[in-house]
Amino acid sequence: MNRKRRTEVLVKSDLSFLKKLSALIIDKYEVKEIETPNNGLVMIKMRDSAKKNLFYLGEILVTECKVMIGKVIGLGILKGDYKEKSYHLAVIDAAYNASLEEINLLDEYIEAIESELKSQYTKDINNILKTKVDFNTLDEEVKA
Amino acid sequence: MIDLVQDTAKSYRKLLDSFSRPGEIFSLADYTKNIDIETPFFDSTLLISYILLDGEVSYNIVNPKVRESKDLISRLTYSNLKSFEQSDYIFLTLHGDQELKKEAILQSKVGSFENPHKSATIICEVESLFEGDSYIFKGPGIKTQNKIQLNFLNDWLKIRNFKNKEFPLGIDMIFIDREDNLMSIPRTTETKGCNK
Repeated sequence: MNRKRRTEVLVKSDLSFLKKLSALIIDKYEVKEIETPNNGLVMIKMRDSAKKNLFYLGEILVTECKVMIGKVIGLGILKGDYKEKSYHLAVIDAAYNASLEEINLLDEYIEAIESELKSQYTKDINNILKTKVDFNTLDEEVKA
Repeated sequence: MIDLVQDTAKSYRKLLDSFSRPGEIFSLADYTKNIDIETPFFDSTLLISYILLDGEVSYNIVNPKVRESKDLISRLTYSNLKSFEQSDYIFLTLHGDQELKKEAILQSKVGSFENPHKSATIICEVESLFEGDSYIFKGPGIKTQNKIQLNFLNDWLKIRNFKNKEFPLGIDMIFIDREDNLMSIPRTTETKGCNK
C-alpha cells in the first residue's frame, strides 16, 4: 500500500490498533529510537481557492519520532500531542521502508480499518446532510 | 542519543567560533559522543548536517555510498538533495571520488553581487588536521598568521582561490577530521601553500 494511503488510515486509528501493528515488528526486529517523540510546530501550506496563491494558514502542533531498523529510518508524525502514537507510526513506517515480510499482514490490517473508517465517514456525512436546510420550503406562502 | 536542542546549539556555537577564527582548531568530540547511529561518514559530519540542514536548504554529498547517505541525511533533516550547482551545502567525505570532489567544488555556487550569501558551503572530511601539507592563513580573525596542516585534494587551494577571486562572491569551507576536530576557512581568508 502506498505511503499516503496507509498514513491517512494510521493517523486516524487509535493507539491500541497501532500498538498491535507495531508489536508484529518490535517482537521480531531490533528497533532503535534515534529521535525520541517530541513536539514541533508545522506551518500549514494552503492554496487559496480564488487566485490559487500559496499561503500559510497558521501553525499546527505535531508530534514526531524517528526510529531505525537496521540501516533504514522510519518517521512517525501526526497532528496533536500523541507521543506514543508517533513512536508506533515510526516503527510501522520503518517496516515499510525496509520492505520487511510483515508488511503483507500489515496491509491486510490497514485495509480492514480503511473500510471501517470509510463507512464511518459516510455515516457521518449522511448525518450532517440530514441537517441541510431545504431552501424550497421558505418559498411557500404561509397560509393564514 | 543526540539531544537535538542542546548538542546542536552548543556545536553550532563552536562552528561560528571556527568561522570567526579561521585556521584555529575546535573540537566537536563532546557532542559527537552522543551519536549512536552508524553512518557511512564521520560522526561530526552527521552533527554538522544536524546543525546546518533543514527543509529550507539543499545539499549534496560525494561518498561511495551516495544512496545510503542521502536516505539517511534527508530523512533525519528533511533536507533536499540537489545538484552541485544548486546545493547550499556540499559534503565531501573522506572516501569520496577525488575527481568528483573537484567537480563539486568547481561547480558549486558562489552567489551574486546582490546576494553573495547565496553561495555554497563545502564541508570536507580529512584524515587529520594536525599532519599533512602546510599552509599559511592570513586575514580577518587571524592576529598575524596561522599555520595549518592538512591533506586534501591536489590543487584544492588553487581551485578554492579561483572560486573566491571575485570577493564577496565565493565559497566557504569547513574541515573536519577523524578525531572530530573542526576548522573553517571563510572566503575572507588569504591562503598560501608552503612546504609541499
